[in-house]
Amino acid sequence: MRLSGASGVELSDIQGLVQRGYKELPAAEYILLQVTDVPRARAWLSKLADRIEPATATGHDKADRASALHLALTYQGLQALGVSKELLDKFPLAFREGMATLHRERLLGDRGASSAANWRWGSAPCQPNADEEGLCETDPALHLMLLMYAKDGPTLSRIKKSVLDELDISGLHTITGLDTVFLAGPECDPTGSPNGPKEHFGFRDGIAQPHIAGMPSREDGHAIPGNIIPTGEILLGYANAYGEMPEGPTDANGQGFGRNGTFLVFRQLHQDVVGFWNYVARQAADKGYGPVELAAKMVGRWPDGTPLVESPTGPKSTLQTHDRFVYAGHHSHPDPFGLHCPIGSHIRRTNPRDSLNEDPQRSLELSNQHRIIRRGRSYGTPLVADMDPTKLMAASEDHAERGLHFICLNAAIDRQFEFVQNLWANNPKFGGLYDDPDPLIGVLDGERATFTVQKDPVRCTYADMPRFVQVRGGAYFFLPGITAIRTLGTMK
Amino acid sequence: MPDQSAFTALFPVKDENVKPLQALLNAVGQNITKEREVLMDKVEGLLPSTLRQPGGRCFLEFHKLTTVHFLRWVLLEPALDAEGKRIDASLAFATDYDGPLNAHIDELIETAGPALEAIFSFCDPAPATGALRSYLLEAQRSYEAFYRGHPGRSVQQIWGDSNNSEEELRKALGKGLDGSPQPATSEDAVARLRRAVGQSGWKSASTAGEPQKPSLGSRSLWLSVGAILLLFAILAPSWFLRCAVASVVALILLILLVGSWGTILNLLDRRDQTRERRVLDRQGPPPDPDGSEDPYVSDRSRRRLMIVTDLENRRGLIQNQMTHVVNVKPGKMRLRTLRIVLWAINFLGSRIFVQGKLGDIPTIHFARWILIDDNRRLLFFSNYDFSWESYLGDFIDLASDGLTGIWCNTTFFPQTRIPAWMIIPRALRLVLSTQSRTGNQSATRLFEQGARREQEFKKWTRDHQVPTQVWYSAYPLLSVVNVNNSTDIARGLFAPHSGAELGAWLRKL
Ligand code: HEM
Repeated sequence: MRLSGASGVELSDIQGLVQRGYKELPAAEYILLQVTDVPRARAWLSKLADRIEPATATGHDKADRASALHLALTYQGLQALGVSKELLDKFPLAFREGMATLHRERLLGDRGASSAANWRWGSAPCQPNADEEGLCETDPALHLMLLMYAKDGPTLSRIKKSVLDELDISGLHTITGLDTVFLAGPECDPTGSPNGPKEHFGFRDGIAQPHIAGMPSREDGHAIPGNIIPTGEILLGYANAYGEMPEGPTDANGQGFGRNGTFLVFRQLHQDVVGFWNYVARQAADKGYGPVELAAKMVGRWPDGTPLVESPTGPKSTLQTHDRFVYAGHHSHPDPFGLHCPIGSHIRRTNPRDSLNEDPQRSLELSNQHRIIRRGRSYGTPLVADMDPTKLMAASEDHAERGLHFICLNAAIDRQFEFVQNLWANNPKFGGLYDDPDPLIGVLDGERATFTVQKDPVRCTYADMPRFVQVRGGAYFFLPGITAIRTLGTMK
Repeated sequence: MPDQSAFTALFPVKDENVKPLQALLNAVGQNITKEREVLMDKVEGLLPSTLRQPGGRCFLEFHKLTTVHFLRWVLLEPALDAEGKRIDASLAFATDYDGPLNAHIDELIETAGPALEAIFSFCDPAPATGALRSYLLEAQRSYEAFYRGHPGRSVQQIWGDSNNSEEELRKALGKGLDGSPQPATSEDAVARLRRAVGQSGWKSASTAGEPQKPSLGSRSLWLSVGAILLLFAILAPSWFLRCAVASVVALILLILLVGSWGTILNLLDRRDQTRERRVLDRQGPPPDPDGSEDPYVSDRSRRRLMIVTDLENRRGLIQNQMTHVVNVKPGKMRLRTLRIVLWAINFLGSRIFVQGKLGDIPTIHFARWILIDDNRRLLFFSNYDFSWESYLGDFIDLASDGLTGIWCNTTFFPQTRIPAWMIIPRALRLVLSTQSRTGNQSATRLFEQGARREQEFKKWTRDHQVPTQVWYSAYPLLSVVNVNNSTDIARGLFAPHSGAELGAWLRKL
C-alpha cells in the first residue's frame, strides 16, 4: 500500500532523493550500468525495489540512517528492460532524445572541449536523420544508474561491495563508477560544525532549494511562501504550475507507470579552480574590489554562504544557510538594480526570484516555473584541503580532474533545467545585459564575455572572462517511483 | 524618415521543382559566412545551368544590404486545407525593411539580382529577364497584422558599421568608462562620457522615429477624462444622464453581440473538431514531394521536427526565427473573427505596444500574420530573441489571450471554450487592471484554455512549424531590449538630466 502525506502526495512511493540530499551521509558514489541479460536484471530490480530509501515522512530515522540507495534509468534503459512502445512514446521528447542532440548542444553550450563527442561517458552525439528513430546509442549503452549514499567511507565500501557482488550474476555490466567528495570549509557553522559542503571554487553549496507542495518541509525550517512550487513541477502524476499533469506515462488522473517519478539531469562538470582564482585575482586589482569580494559578486553569496543581498559588505555567520530573501522587493534594502547582488551573478541568474521584470509578485510566479532541485556532489581532491579562498588563490596549477557531479530533479527538462542553463545562464543578454554569460557556468556566445558589477554612480565591467567549467559527461535519467521499479522487475 | 515595413511575396512552385529548390535554399541558408555572404562554389551545382555565372565569387552578399533588418525564404510544401483539398507548393520571400518599398526593392535587385533570379527561376512562372522588379511587386501579399519591437530605428541607426550607430556609441561609451580610475560621482561619469564621445567622432543619427508614447498608458489622461465627465455631470445633469443611459445600453448591446458571436463559435467548434478528425481519417497525409511517408497535417515525424529544431539558434543563442503555417477552420464566421482579431492586434501593435513589448513580451523584433492560399491558411513569421522554449513560455505566460484569440480559429488548436458573455466584462477589467498596475494581472484573462494548455499548445506549435531554409539577420548579436536600451543611451547622452534621471540613465550603460 502507498502511504500518502496529508496532501495526498505518496511519500512512501517516492524515492527519498526527491525529499533530501542526505547531508548526513557525506560519502557517495554513482554507478553507471548496462543491462546485459534482461530476465536476470529484472529479477535484480524486483529485489532492489525493497532497498530503495523512500521519502517517508519527516523525523524518520534521520539520525540513525547509515545509508541510502537510489535507482535511475535512461530511455535506453527502459527500452532494454522491455517497456512497451506505447509507454515509451509518452515520455517527453527531451528525455527520449537525450542530452546530446545538435539542438541541445547549442542550447546547453556543449561546444569545443565540452561537446558530447569529447565526453567520457553519457549520450553519444546524435546526428539528425541518423536513423528512422533518431535515437542516440552509446557504446556501451548506458541504461541504469545506482546512487549510493553512506555515513562514511567504510560503510559505503561495504554497501558497494554487497551491490557489486550481486551485479555480476544479475545480468548487469558496470560501465564506470563516479566517486564523490565532501568538501568542508575553514569557517564554522553557528552550531560549531565545519561549514559545508563546499564546491571546488570554495563556496558553500547546496543551500537554496524550492519546496515541493505537499512534501514535508526540510529539516531546517518552514517552507517560505514564495518558495513553494506545485508538486507537479517535480513529480509526475500531480498538477504542475499550469494546473496540468506533466507530460509522461500517466493518465489524466496522474495514475500509471510514471506516477511519483521525476527526471534526473546529470552533468559531470569539470572546474578550472586555478583559472577561476587567477582571473579574479588579476581583474580585481584596480576597480575597488578585493578578489574574494569580486568572486562573491560572481556567485551572489560569500564563500561561507551568506547571501550578498542580505549582507553586501561581508559574511555573517548567522546567514550562512539563509534562503529567505528576495531581490527587488527586499524588506530592508531592496536591490532591484543589482547594487548588492549583481544581476549577472550565478544565483541571481539561476533563480531570479522577484526580479525578473518590473512586477515583483509576477516575477516570483514566473521564476518559480523554472525551478530545479539540486542534488549534486563534488568530485576529485580539492586544490587546497581546507578550501580557504586566499590559499586557493595562491595555489599553483596541478591539472587534477575535479569538479561537480551536477544532479538536478525536475518534471519538465525543457522548461526547467534546459531553460535555466540556456536562457538564464548561457544567454549573454540576461537581465538586459549585453555580453555577460553566467560567470560560473555560462558559455561564450559572441566575441567576448564580460562580467558586470552594478554600482554607484555607474557599473564596472570585467573583460575577457574565460570559461571556467567544462562538461565531461552527462545524460537524462528517469527516477521512477518505487512501485514503477517493481513493475519493471515483473514485466514480461 | 519612412518607418520599418514588412514585405512579403508568394510564388507558386510546381511539384517537380520542390526538391531542387529545397536543396538550393538549404545550401544558401547553411552557408552564410561570418562575413555575411554566400560563396558561389557552395551553391553552383544546384543552380539551373542557364543561370550559372562562371567566375562569380559570391552568390549573395547580404552584407551589402542596407535596408534589410531580417530576410527569409521559406518553401511551403504541398498540403491539404481544412476540408481536405490540396494546396500547391509555394515559395515565400519576406523582409523587414527600412524606407520606401521602391528603394528597398531596387537595392535587393542591385545587390542580389542574379541570386534572386536564380532562386525564383524554380517558381512558376519564373521571372522574365530584366523584369524582377514587377515580378516581386506583383507577388506581394498584404499582411493582416504586423508588429515591430523597436519601431522607427533604421538598420544603420541600430547597427551600421559606420560611427553613427547606437551600438557603436554604446561601445565607445563603455570604453570611456572602463578606463581607470572609476568615476566618483554621476556628474564625473557623464562629463567623462561626453568627452569620450567627442573623441570617438560619433555623430547623432537622426532623431526621427521617436516611439510614440502609448496613449492609453498615462494616468493623467484617465484623470482628465474623469474630470471632464464630472464637469459635464455638474453643468448639464440631464444630458449627462441621457449619455450615461445611452452608453450603458451600448455596452449591453456590445456584450450581447460579442456574446452571441462567441456562442455561435463555441457551437461551431464542436462540429469543427469532429470534422477535423474525419478529414484526417479519410484523406490521410497529403502527397509528399520527396516520396517519403511523413505524415504532414499533424503529428509530424521526429525527423521533420529535428529539421526544424536544427535550424534554431544556428547563429548563436541571441536571435531566432519561426515560420508557422496552419489551416483556418472552415466557414465565413471563422475567417471574419480571425480578421477582426488580427486587425485589433495590428492596431494595438502599431499604436499601443510601441515600446518594445508585444503584450508584455520584450523579445520580438518583428512578427507578422498573413492569410494565404485564398484565406485557407494562416502564415506566421517571427524574428525573436533567445530560445523557442522561452518564446513559447512568454506566449503562454504573457500573451495567451491574444494568441488564443487568433489561433483558436485554426485547426487542431488546443480546445478553447470562449466565455462568450464574459468577454467584454473581462476585457474591461483587463484594461482597468493594466492601467492601475496594482491589480493582479495574472488573475484576469479573457480565455482560460487554448494557449494556456501549456504542453498541448507547445506541441501544436511544433506540429505546424515549417523549416525556414534561408534566414538572415542584420544584427544577430543584439536583443530587442539591447536595441531599445541603446536608443535610450543615445537620446540621453546630451539631454539635461535631473538627479534621479541621471542615475537611471547611467544604469543603462
Ligand atoms: C561547477 C558548476 C557549478 C558551481 C560551482 C555552482 C555553484 C553554486 C553555488 C556556490 C551556489 C550557491 C549556494 C546555494 O544556493 O546552494 C549555487 C546555487 C545554484 N546553482 Fe549552481 N553551480 C554550478 C552549476 C550549476 C548548474 C549547471 C545549474 C543549473 C543549470 C545551477 C543552478 C543553481 C541554482 C538554481 C542555484 C540556487 C539559486 C537560488 O535559488 O538562490 N548551478 N551554485
